[in-house]
Amino acid sequence: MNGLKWLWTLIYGDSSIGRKARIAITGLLMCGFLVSHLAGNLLLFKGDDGESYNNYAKFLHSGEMEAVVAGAEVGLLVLFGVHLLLALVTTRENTAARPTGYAMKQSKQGDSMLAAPAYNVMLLTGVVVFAFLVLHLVDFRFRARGSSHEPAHVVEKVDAAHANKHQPITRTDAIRLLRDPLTSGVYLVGCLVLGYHLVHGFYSAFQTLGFNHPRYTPKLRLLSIVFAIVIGVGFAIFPVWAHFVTIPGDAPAAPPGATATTP
Amino acid sequence: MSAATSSPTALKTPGSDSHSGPTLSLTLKIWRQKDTNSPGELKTYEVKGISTHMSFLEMLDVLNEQLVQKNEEPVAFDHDCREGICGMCGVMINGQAHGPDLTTTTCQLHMRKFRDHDTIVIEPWRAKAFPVIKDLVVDRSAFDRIITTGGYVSINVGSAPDGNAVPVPKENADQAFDAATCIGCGACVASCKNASASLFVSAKVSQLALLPQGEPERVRRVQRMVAQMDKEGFGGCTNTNECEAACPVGIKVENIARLNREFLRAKMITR
Amino acid sequence: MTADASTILKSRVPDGPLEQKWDNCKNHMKLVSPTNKRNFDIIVVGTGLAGAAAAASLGEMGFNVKSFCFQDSPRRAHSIAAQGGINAAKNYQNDGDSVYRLFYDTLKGGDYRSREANVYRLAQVSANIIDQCVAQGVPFAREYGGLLDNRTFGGALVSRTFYARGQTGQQLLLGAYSSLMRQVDNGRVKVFPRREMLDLVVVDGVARGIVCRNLVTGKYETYSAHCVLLATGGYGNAYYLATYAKGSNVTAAWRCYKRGAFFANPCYTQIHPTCIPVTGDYQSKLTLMSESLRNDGRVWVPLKQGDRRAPEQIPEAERDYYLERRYPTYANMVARDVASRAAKERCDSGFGVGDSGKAVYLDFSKAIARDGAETIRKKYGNLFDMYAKITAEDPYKSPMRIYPAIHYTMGGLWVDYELQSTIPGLFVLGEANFSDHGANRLGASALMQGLADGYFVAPYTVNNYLGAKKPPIVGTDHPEFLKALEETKARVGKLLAVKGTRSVDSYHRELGGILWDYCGMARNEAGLNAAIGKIQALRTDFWKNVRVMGTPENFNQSLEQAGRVADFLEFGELLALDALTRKESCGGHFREESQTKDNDTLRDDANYSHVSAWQFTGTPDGVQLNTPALHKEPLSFEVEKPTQRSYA
Repeated sequence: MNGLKWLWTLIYGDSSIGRKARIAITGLLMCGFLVSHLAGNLLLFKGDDGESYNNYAKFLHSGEMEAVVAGAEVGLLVLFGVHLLLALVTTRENTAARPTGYAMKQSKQGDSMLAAPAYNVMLLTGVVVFAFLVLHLVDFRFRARGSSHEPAHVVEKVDAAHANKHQPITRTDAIRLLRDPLTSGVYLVGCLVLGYHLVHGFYSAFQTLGFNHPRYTPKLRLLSIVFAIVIGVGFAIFPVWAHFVTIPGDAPAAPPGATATTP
Repeated sequence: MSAATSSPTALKTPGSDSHSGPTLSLTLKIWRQKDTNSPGELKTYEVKGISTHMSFLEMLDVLNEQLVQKNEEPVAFDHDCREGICGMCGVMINGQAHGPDLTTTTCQLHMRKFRDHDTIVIEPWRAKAFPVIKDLVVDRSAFDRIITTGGYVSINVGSAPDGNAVPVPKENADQAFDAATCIGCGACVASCKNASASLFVSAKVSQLALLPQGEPERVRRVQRMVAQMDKEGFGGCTNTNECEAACPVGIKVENIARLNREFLRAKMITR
Repeated sequence: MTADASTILKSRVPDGPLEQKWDNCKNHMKLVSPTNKRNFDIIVVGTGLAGAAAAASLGEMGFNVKSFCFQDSPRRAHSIAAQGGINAAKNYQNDGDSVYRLFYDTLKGGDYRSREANVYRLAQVSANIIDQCVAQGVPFAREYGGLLDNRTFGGALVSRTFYARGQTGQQLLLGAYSSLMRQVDNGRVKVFPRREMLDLVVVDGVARGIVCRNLVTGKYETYSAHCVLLATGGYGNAYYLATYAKGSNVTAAWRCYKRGAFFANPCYTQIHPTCIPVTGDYQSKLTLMSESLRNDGRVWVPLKQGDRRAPEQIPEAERDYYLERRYPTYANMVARDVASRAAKERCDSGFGVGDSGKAVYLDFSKAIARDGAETIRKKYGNLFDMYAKITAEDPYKSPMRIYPAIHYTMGGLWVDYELQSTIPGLFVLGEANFSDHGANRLGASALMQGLADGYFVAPYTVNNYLGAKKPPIVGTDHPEFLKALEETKARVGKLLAVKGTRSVDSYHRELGGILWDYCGMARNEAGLNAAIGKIQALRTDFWKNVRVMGTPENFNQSLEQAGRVADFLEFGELLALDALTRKESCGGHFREESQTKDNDTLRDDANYSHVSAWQFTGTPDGVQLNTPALHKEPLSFEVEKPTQRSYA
């Protein structure tokens, strides 16, 4: 066990500030991932019947990228793991710092604080995001969940894809999955909660890492909100949009307003 | 007419009104606790005839006179200078450290902030690192221990160079002063949802990090002070900025960022 | 009973020319060897500027120091509340300042009632204080070039006051506190907070320890040492309403007095003219605003007695700018005591304003009209804000109301040149001693004296004492310790045993009222005699009717307060007696029988050019029943001959 002590120290650190810095760094790195993920998702919108998106997916699954993606996956797993673990640890430490609570507690901050409530629910939103992430991985990474609401031939197709997990998911697969009302709802909520987590998280990470300047910090706080909206709403668009777009295999009796997708 | 005037004449109590202006009747819910190890509870008291010109502590003085009158033990609360600078006073007033006013200590809060028939909940600072001594009095010696680990410049009397030997940019001197105005009252800890002492520690670290005199011990200071802060059982900083709002002298969370910066820098360059 | 007494009071002023006395003194001191210092224990009571600085310096030297304060932390001491600044003869402004000028100003300011050699030494070490504080990281105000800034203060003709915005005392105290905590870290100092010194232990005529009460547990504790340093501040709270901290008290000094230390010049109290007035009977303390306000504010009252109109409604022609009228040269800038007495005179004659009639206006409307509100805000913004916070009135719109209040006491335990009291081994520092300010203290000099005593005087002289005397070790099991402990317990027990009906605070207020009325800004023989009678009667009543709640073995603030008030009730009489005995006016002591035609103080150098040092002649646990013995230390002025001041 002793041999791994250095690893534990590396993860856990030896101070409250060190732990917070680790949470901040892992958080910011994951923000970077979110940006690239969102950028990739935007290919869904390209009016080419999913060609770009599918090619992008295919590229990520190609032989030369396999190692990179695997590495990234492990990296992301570690980031998420450390982020969550330290969040739990610090929350426990923070709770222990006040064993007896107040009979009455009110904030002295006025309404000017845009992010006011977000910081009070960081652990909650974080755990919700975690649960959502597990579902998302089950659906998209491991493709371990089918949808019984789909037409039979589609289910077949999904099952076929399911049979080969290494096959990249296609735009059609993704949309079909997100059309399930329950899934759609969960994804919508998950994405918005993620955004809410970022309202405080993004700004807070900079403060934790020592960045605060009277000239830039107010702008950073605004940026944090903008970033949170872009990420949260950006991802949340897809489960909504999935209901309004036509994909191959859709019933011919498409709503009159729908754009024709078959030639 | 005040409640005090209904007292036997032997007890000359405040409130016998040589002043004019409205008076308040208040319901006070005050934390009473015999000593550190005894359980405590909120007890309800009524006070009448409180002049709006009174300070909050003067209102408690009036209550205590009434309690003595009734052969009850007065409410213990810490206070000394009563002009907002010594940092000795400080209670939670309706869940807010030092009460509703910004940049105001409890002793400088005046009763004109309250309305007739208000109920006021008064509790001690609550933190594991600030055990209650009695009623509203807490033990803040953790702050002293933190300063002991590095909140100073190691300079012996007799070895100081001329005061003007080292110029200090005015901006730095001003910022250092702003940080140095911390009165060590503990409102930051009390108001923080994590009972974190980050603002207090950051004020001292910032003051000395901004001045050339603090430079030689910069790396050692911040590490020792943060280690002591953790050891005392304070929580960590979650950047809610509640401490800044509660601080009676307006210490900025900018200092916490500087503390973090100093700490991370120190960790990186320490061998 | 007056003893002629230069035989008893040995000032031990060194020989030689004034400017060489301190060096001569230091050069001939006995030293304790570096390896031997750790074998000496030193008790320092009080952690204000003088106490914290002395404890830290002695710790740095290698002694074992025990530092005591009644507050929860050494950082709370009331030095923290000083606003204005600290004087030092640095001559950074190149305006001709020098050690000699600072010495002269301080001596003259003290109305020639201080010891010349002490004042000179104070001026000498003043420059070192600034260096020391800067090196500690005290963020003094600076100019854009990065060098230290100065301001003018208290009528001096040079700019020699160093400051940290309006919180100089706070910054200097936190500097001293940081040095103290550094020595705690080094293991040289142990701090005992929430301890109140209740007695001095004297063994074989030498101060060897203290008895104190642990204010948290209520337990009594005794500590022994090779010498005791007292830095417990002034006694202004005898007046109840003062700008002192609520906890400030005379108890430690009074206990030493009862053990044989002489109390010098207790009647020298200073009144500050620009305080926020009393609003009601509940008032617990007064708040001072920097005197600098008088630079731009004009003092006035209505011409008509009892004029209750709002100040804005009183036309210019119906206002009496009485300072400008009486003192055309200095006008609103007359000395503190002159301005204070004039305000009291106007209010006593029925011209006072405000609900209580005990206030005068300080009007900025002319300055605001002349310079604009912004300029005034830059100069006094924090003071205006403070005033607004306390009174809920906007001083930019209507004039401030001000009234004088007690804010410093020049008297204190008598000490020789080496700050040693008449009890060997008991040193007294800062405001607690009587030494450097004579009958009146100049602005920005209190901080200077506290730190001078603490950093630069006491550490040397204590070293000398220990090196020369090499007092043997005495344990707290010595019979004198046990005796003092029992006496303390008995005294506290007596307080709790009265079980009367009247609150401690009510006695304190009444005592304050007596002193303020008869022994405040203006004093006369009949009044002082009356005051003594009233204080005696009040004291008798106190011991019959006081009600102290709670138990001794507990955190008990009522009991703390009761003990302090009991001592004030004894001390107040001495204060009045001293004022009665000094039939001249000087500095802050104004005897109506002795004034110039401009109502200024009229000294009587022929009969009163001396320090009055009072010796307790009763038993330590009893009240003084006979008159204490008066000893006189004659004051001689070799370099600066006394002159009469005039502000007309």
